Amino acid sequence: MPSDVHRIYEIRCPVYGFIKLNDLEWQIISHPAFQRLRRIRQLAWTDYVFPGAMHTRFEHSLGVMNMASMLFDGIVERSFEILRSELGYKETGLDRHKALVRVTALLHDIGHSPFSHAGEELFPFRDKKKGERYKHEHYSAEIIRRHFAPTIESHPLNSSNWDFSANDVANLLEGRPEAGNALFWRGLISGQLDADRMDYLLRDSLHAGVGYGRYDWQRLANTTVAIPASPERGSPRIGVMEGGWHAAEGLIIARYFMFTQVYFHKTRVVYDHHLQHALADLLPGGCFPEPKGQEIDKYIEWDDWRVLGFLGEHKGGEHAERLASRNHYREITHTSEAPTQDEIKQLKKWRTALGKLLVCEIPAAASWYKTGPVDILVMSSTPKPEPRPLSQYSSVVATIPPAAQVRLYAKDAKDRTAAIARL
Amino acid sequence: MVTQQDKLALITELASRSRGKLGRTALMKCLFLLNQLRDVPVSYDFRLYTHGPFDSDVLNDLQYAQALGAINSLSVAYPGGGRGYELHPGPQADAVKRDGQKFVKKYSQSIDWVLTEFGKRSALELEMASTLIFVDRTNAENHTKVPISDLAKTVHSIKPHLSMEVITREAKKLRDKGHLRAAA
Repeated sequence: MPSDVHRIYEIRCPVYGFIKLNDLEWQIISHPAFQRLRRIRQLAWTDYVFPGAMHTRFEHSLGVMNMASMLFDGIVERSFEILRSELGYKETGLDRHKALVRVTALLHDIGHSPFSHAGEELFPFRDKKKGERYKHEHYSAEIIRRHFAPTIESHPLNSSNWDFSANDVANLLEGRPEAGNALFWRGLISGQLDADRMDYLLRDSLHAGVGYGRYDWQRLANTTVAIPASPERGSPRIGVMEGGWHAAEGLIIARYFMFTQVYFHKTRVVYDHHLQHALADLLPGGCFPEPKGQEIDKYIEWDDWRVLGFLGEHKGGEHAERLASRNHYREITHTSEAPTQDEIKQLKKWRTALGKLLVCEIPAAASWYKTGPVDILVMSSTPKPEPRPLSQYSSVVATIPPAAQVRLYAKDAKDRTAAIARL
Repeated sequence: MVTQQDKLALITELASRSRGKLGRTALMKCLFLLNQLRDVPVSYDFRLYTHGPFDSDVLNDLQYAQALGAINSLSVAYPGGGRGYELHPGPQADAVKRDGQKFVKKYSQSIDWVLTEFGKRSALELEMASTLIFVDRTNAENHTKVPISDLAKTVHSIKPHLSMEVITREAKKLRDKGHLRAAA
């Protein structure tokens, strides 16, 4: 498609207003493999609980690029001296890495399976002995190398200014050693203070119609800094200035609320289970093709539309029927968010009591959205500048429980009565 | 199959045996080293960052161990400035270790080994050693034999704040101890 290489494009975004893109980024989003993201819903079947949650990976990917770019600029503005002295940067190198980080953020979810994370349990094993499956990042990296090399490498804006390759993008995304000092910025794609989470909390909250995912992202973006290396703390990291610690606290509380109220909602997660089993029934051999060579071309033919087409033809077995008729499995019991050892023993009794009635067990620890302990470093200003973990500023952050809840399901709510009688 | 109880017991055992010498970074790197150098199936998926191999699931498990009372995180002031945490066994440490005792017993010698070999090192030194091993394993996966100088160069490109001299010295030490697979 003919284009003006110096044109700046603007796309409306419900979170940030307008997102600006250069022509290279515009060509990337025009690629069919990127347009596929319009047909992959961000939160799978969540709309059955929160009807507004119909947004896609397409708008999220644009949002992550925008957020990563703002964080990058802020860190450069406030921490150039650390970037120069500890990470070997000069002004020109930073321009190149900013362009690289923007493209990596834009493409970070390019390998998602239909209905996002719900399909990931159907990725084939990369090491069967260790039980390790491929992850969506492996698919993203392979799609970038195989499909985006011509777009990225032959674009005049890139070749005359930055000269990075599709391989550079994939290496940064995968965290490969070849990425060199650019790995510092990997923290903005996937880390303690990353643009991915910062965007999806705001966006998912907006579309789901809940207030839980909101936090002061402008303040956070305006206080993000590089924290210098030290023997006890290790290498340079991304953190926040002291003035931003409440904004960082807000982010962590938003993550916790969104996890407990939306992502790990008892009905939402069991729809993922049904979807996964319906997909297993639809996929040849019960799993997706490998992220290798021509297999990846077969993989990207899978999107939500294709799966919904099969479901509309009543394919996909019992679980597809359950999805179509909203006849999902029912939660029989759950532990507290951080079960005690007594609760774990009690859970074993429930399993025994349910016997064959137990059809599904969903642990929070296996959820992609699990909160995890984010402990962002805060650069204090008094009595002298020194970094401290956020959990030493915020008693709320220090006591947020881990993602360890477990939910047990049966086919029918009445099965609970039968199990209680056997407890 | 490694269970959640096994992992919690392993983390608690490391904190107990280190006698307060282990911080969060050291815990992360010790688990990576146990996996790579002693084949302990920790079932974490370590990815590379400037600060070395990292998996946030380790911190999630640490947080759970703390919530169960198996580990106490004590705030400490670092001599070089700033604050962090030291991990100590909590009141429920023995109970949590009991739930994964078979696993911990099986790898007991490896736990002692990793703490003796690496437990007293600073976070920066542990990051360097584990990054060298991570890069070496990537080279081994690619079936490439790489001279020590090239290995050090790659790690220096990731960690320019460390000198080539320091990285090369550590790489040679790891090679001489037989910890590197792809170093020529």
